[in-house]
Order: sequence, then C-alpha cells, then structure tokens
Amino acid sequence: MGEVQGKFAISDDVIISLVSHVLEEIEGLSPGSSSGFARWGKKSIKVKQGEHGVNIEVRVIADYGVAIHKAAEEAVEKISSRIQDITGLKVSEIRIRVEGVNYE
Amino acid sequence: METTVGERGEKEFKEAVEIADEVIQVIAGIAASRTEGVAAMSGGITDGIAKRLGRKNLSRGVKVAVNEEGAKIDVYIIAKCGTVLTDLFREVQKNVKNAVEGMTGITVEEVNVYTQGLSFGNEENSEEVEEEKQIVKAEKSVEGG
Repeated sequence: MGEVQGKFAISDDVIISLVSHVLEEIEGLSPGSSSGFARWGKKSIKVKQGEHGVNIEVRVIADYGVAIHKAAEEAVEKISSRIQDITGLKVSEIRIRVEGVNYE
Repeated sequence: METTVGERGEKEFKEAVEIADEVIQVIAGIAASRTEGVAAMSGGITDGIAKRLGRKNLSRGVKVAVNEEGAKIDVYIIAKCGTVLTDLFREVQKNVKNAVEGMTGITVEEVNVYTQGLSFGNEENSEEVEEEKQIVKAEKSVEGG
C-alpha cells in the first residue's frame, strides 16, 4: 500500500490576500502607488515563488509621526510567521519599500 | 535613491526595509515648516525670487543626502520677520533631526538651514494667492464656456 501521489500548490493570489490581511492589522502603514481609499492588493504587494521560497515585496505609504522602521519591522515579522504557519511555504525574502508620507 | 534601514541576513530569510529619499524629504519638510518662526519653505531661488510653496510641495525646499554615516539634510526656509534667526536655526535643526530619526531610525549627521527670505506678515502673500486663484478660475471659465 503506497501513499497517494499528488501535487500541492498555492497560488500567488492566496499569498497576496494573506499578506493584505496582515498589513491591515498594522497601524500607520497604507498601500503605496495608489490614491485615496485604496486597499491592499496586487498593486502594492508583489509575490514571486521560486526554488528558494517566496519572495515578497510591499510598497507602503506611512502616516506622518509613525516610527516607520518599527512598523515595517513588525510587518516583516508578522508576514513571515503568518505565511509559514498557514501555507508551510518557506519565505526567502521580504522587502518593504516606503514610498511616501501621509500628512493630515 | 532609497535608504535601507533594516537589512538582516542572520534570519532564515532576507529582510529589507527601504525608505525612499522623498520620504525623508517630506518628513524634514513637515518638521521644519511646523517650527515656530518659519513662514514657509522656499523652493530655492528661481529667477531671483524666493518662491513660496504650499503644503502640497513639502518635499521641496529640502535636500537629502544619505551615506553610511547618516543623513545630511539641507532645509531652505522663509523666516517670519521678528524671529531671532540664530534661535530659529537651532529649533529647526532640532525638530528636523528628531522627526527624521524618530520616524525612520536613520541617524541625522547634519542639518543645514538656509534662510532665503523674510516674511513681513501675511497680507502680501495672501493677496498673491487670491490673485492666482482668480486667474485659475478665469481660465477654467474660459475653457468651460
């Protein structure tokens, strides 16, 4: 009696929605490269799955007064643990690009 | 140009936090323009006139250079008349340094403050703005009608 053969795949969209969900919890960061009431999604989150694991790049705009480096650090921690817990995929790189500042 | 503030390799994955120079510019610009005694940021001398800039251009009037040692920031301001400028320099330097370091974690090595103009009350400026608004309105109505 052998084990059943089969592949197991997780699409990039799944990873994007996981990352979006995590980022919504982090105060002071909003999606980059968009205006107004934009939500996190494909435009601000890029995902690449390679041999070494998942590569994630996030573009953000920070609120004025927020300690950006600390918020970004928090985002990285939460994204990596959430992805590894839920998908079992290995994270190879997380890159947070801070593109702008929200004021008022 | 982007500044990487938190690159770490010792973890099982690579992480990087990059802050665009424009972000540092905006932070420095907001901090400087909020300082008591600063009337406005100056966009540099254009045609011999120090132009006043509105809030949407907060990244202007600020130059940023970042290297391994930290950031060097040049701030161009228009001061309110009656302010003691030597005190104003200190205040602007302190506010810019605190804001940039607090928000980005980047060490600020140097803040140079250039005063490019003095403001004598607001009458002159508000008239200019009013005039500009009227011109814009006139142009729009020409286009519309």
